Amino acid sequence: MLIMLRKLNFTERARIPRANVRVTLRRDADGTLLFDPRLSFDGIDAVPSTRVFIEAYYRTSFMRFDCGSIGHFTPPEDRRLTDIDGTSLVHFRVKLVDNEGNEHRVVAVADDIVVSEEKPERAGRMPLLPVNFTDALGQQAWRIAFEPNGPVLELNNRLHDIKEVAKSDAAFFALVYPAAVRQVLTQILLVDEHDAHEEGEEWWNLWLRWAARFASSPLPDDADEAPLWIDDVVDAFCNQQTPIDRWRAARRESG
Amino acid sequence: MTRLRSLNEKGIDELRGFLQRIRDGEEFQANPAILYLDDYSQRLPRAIEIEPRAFANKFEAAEYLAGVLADVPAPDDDVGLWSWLALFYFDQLSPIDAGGKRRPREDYHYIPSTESGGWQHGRHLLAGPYKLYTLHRRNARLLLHPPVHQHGAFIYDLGFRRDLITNKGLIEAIDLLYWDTKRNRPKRGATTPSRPGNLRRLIAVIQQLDFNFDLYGMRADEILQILPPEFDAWRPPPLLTPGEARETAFLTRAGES
Repeated sequence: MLIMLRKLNFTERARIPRANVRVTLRRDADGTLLFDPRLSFDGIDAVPSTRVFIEAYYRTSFMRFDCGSIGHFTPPEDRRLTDIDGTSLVHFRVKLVDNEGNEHRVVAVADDIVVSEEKPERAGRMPLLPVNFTDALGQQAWRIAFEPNGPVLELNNRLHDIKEVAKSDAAFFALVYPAAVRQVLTQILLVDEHDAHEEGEEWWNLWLRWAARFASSPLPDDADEAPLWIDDVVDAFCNQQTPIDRWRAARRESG
Repeated sequence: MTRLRSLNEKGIDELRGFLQRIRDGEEFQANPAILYLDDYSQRLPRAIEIEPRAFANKFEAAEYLAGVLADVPAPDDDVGLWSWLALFYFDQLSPIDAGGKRRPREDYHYIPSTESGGWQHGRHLLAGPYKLYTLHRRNARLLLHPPVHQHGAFIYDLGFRRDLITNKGLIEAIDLLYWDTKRNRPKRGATTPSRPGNLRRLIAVIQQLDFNFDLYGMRADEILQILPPEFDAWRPPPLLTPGEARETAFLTRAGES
C-alpha cells in the first residue's frame, strides 16, 4: 500500500536550499581531486558569526573543511580531497554551526550534494543517477549500487573509452538506461516499499516525482499494481527518448 | 634487523598465490624468498630497518610501525609496502588455530584493497591500525586492543562510519567511557548488547545527536556532557581540584576512624 504522507521535521535545524550551494570538482597539476565551493546564505536565518563547514564523503571516507563564517566565508586554500577514496564521485554536506556560547548547535544543513567530476553539480539540481567509473566490477559492464544517499550507476572503467561511450553511445543508452530505471523503481516500490512523501527530498521521493511525469496513471495505492506502473513509466521514458530509433540511426551513420 | 622493502606487481601476485596455497593446505614457510629477491620486491629509496617482533596487540604493532615509518610516506593504500609488511609478519597475522592450521582470511587483510570506497578499504591488518594510531595516538588503544590478526568489536562497530572514526573528540570520549585504566583493557560489558550504555547504544545515540550538534567540532568532555543518563555508569570519575582532593581525603579518613 503506497501512502502519501507529509514529512515532519522534528530537529531544530533548517535546510539550506540546494539552489544556494554550488560545488565543482577538478584536478590539480598532480592529478589530485579538489573542490571549489560557492555558497549563498540568502534567506538563511543565522547570525554572521555562524560557522560554515563543508564535509566531503564517499562510502567510508570522510574529510571536513573549515570555511570560516557566514559573515566571512573563507574556504581553505588546500581543498584537495586526499582522504576521499579514489573516485570521480563525491558527496558533500554543508553545515552551519552556531558556536556562540560553545554549544556547537547545527542550525542549518544541505546534505547529499552529489558531485561528479564528469558532470559538475549545477545550482539547485541533483543528478538522479550519478555515474561512477570503477575498476571493481570484474566482468560486469555496469551495475546499480544502492548507497544510503541513492542509486549510483557504476560503469566498468576497464572498458575502453567507457566515459565517451556512456556519454554518447546510442546502443549503450538503449541497453543500460531503461533497465536502470526499471531496477531503481523496483527497488523503491517493491523491495524497500517506500512511502511516497508529498514534500520529501529523499532520493526515492525525487525518483518517484521524476517517474510520475512519464506515467499515464497516478502512483498506485496497491503494491500489486506497482510492476504495471513501473512498466508504464519505462515504456513512456523510452517513447520520449526513442533509444531504438537513435541506435538504428547511429548504425546507419557508422555503416 | 632487516631492510624494509616493497613488493612489486609480481611479488603481490606471488603473495596472492601464497595465501591460496596455505588455504589449500600447503605448509607455511616463514620468511619466503619474495621478501628479499629483487624480482619480487624492491628496497625503499631510504634505508629503513625493521625487526621481527611479537606484538601483544594491534596497538603495540601500530605504535612500533609508526616509529619505524616516521620518516617515510606510508599511505594505507601503498599496496607494495603494506603487502610486504603483512608477509614479513605473516605468522602473527594468520596464526595457527586450535586445529593446528593457519587459515588466511580474505586477501584484503594482507594486500590493501584498491577498490574505490569499498568496505574492504581499511581492513588491512597492519595498515588500518597504523592509520588509526597516527590519527588518535594513545586514544586508539581501545580500538586497537585485540590481537593483530583480529579486528575486534570496536572496529567492526565504528570502522564503517568514517566521520565517527576520524572524530578525535569522539574517540577520546569513547576511550574515557570504556577504557579501564586500572586493568589497562576495555571495561567489561562495553560491547555487551544487553548492558545499558554499551558501545552500540552510544553509536545510535551519537547518530541522533549528530542532527543537532556539530560533534566533529566538539571536545571529548563536551560530547560526554550531552550524553543521556544511560551512560552515567560508564563515565570516568570527575577530575578533582587539589583542594577538593584534600577535602575528599580528609572526609574519607574521618569516615574510617
